[in-house]
Amino acid sequence: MIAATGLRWILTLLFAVSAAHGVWRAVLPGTAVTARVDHALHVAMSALMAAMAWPWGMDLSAGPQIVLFSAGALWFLAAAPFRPGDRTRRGAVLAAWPHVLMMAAMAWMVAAMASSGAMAGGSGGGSMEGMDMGDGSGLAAMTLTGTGPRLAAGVLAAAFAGLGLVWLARAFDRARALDPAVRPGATGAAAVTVTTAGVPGEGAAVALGLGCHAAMALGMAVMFVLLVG
Amino acid sequence: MPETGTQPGVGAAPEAEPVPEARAPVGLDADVPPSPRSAGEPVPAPAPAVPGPWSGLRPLLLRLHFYAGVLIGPFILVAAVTGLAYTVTPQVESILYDHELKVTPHGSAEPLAAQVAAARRAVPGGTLVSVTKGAGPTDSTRVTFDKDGLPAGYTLTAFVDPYDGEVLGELRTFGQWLPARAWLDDLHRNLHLGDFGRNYSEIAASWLWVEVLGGLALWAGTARNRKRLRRLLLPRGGPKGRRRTLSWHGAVGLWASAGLLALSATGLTWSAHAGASIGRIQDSLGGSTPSVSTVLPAATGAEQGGGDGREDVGIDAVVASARDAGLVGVLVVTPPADADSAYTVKENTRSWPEQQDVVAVDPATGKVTHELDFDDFPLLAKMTSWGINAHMGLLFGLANQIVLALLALGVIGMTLWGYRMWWLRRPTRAQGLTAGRAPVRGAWRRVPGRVLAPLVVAAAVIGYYVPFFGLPLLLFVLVDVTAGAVRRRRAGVTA
Repeated sequence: MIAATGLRWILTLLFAVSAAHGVWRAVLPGTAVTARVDHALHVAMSALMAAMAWPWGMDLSAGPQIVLFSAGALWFLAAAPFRPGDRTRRGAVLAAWPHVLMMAAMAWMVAAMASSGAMAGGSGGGSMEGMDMGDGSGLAAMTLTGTGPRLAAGVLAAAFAGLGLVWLARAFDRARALDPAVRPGATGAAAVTVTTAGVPGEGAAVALGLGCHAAMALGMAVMFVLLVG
Repeated sequence: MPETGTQPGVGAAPEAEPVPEARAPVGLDADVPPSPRSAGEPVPAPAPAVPGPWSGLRPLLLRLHFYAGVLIGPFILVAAVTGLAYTVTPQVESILYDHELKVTPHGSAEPLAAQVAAARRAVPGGTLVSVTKGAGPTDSTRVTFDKDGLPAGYTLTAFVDPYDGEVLGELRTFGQWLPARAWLDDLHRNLHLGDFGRNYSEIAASWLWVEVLGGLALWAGTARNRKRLRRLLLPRGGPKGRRRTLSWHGAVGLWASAGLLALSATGLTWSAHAGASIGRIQDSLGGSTPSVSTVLPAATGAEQGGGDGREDVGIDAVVASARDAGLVGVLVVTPPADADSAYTVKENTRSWPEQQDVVAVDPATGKVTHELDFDDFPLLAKMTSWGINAHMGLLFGLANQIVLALLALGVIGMTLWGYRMWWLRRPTRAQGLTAGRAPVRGAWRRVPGRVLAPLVVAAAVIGYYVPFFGLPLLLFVLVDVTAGAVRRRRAGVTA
């Protein structure tokens, strides 16, 4: 949970945009089943991350979330070699690792908070062991206290910050190569303009997707920073 | 800024088409946009990125510098004008309040207690807040009271002649500031509009450093010929025009940059929103300003008895103890808050960076119970104190005032020159009143993602902690995106 109202809303907005994008991509006609599962997992993650910023998010049961995100991590790992594309099997697995990491990190975050008793269904019994419940004057209302968990949260924060920057850079590179008149779903004269991707609107959609991944990763980085305290 | 604009007749211009105008400019006058066009003349879209991060970054920076200058300029201008007025307050005070501030020494000084008693008679019903003993023989003693009916933060100060205990006058004061300085201080901080008005100075402080750093990069990064250094440092002469105006804008900005960055930083520490963030960061770095403990040791204070539950050696003994402890110059004595508290005596010679020591004195024994030496302050706390005093023109007296006045004049000049350059860029062939052209749209497309991404994230982080930088920036981007979309839509309709 995040105590600072402004940051709570900013992160909620960030995750909400990412979730909305995921929903849109998941229901888009012609989307492959594997891609729909990917997007559904991203939507779940965005929604639960947004919920985690709020006090009521702490009331959500931890068990199902841990199961969901662990399964999500396994899904991205297992499904990678079978995805359509021109990558080798090894390349496909390597390309999937950021998503595996995000899912696994999400499961770990929920587990860490649950074991401290901060979340519903945890083993802490409300004692908040391993978790410092702040007075609300700082950014986060709680931070991890154990050295190991804090170190892990710090490493994950750095990893997601880096990942977010890479995705954001790629999103900008995609977007700046586009003609501004072309947007996903654009019709009429504007859609006639051919993008660098060769398909009207496709380049913009890719840029938007990368941007949403970046938002998600950077939002997670902030959450992990707050856990470090 | 985010969107590439198109004008009628351009539409979906081929991306690879070279656009010399939009490329990183070179040459003597390269850091200004190209010559004005007529309203109907097309403005080509910029080409994709060219090699080198700076050549791509420069147009984006120019556009940000331009927009911030045009839109934030009024806030900075007002802050500079009111700041300029503020720089002369010591002289204004010495003229306006000479009767209250200065005395002619005659004989020996009365005890401070007698002076305070005289002040109490002059301000009936007042609650004693502090007593300020002047440093020199010609200074009056200030006895400050809180009183019902005064606005929040204001006090009533009686000025007492230390030689005969005569009350020279009473003035409504704000902290240690006399009415004229308090009025100008309020004007500079919030334009007498209270908390709402405070936002203006926070906006100015939040953007001044952006304008300065951006301007420095643009000015110093301009390609020049062998006379580069001279043109970098000195304004050019010659005929009136955009080049000469730009030269003054850039050269004065270069000279003033360090001072303006310091003013921006110290101004931000006072601000409501960014100031709170800076305070938290300072605390987390262990740089918060320490305070003297007024808690009395056991076995003294209330349990020792006295008229109101304690003994009191009196203010003269307290001051003597403080002097023995090494305190010099102007001393501000604050009486105990309650029966369990000590007096505090604080050096208040703000023109000298070191004279800020504080002691707590036991009212029952007159002994110093706690000493707080400025030398022992964390470096950040020292820098905060020096920064505040320098920003207010108090450090080193007149020299500080002159520097501040020059900086204020520099900012006023740079802001007005900036607007003049904008005016000189207006389309002269267009009908009616038109504004000057902004630097070309779509500049962000020239910046590689690996450069743009960290910049955007850094801006977001800074914008969070300095919200009056972040929110206007977000607003600029949204307006720019919307304007670009509207222009494209119109272009599409026309086509």
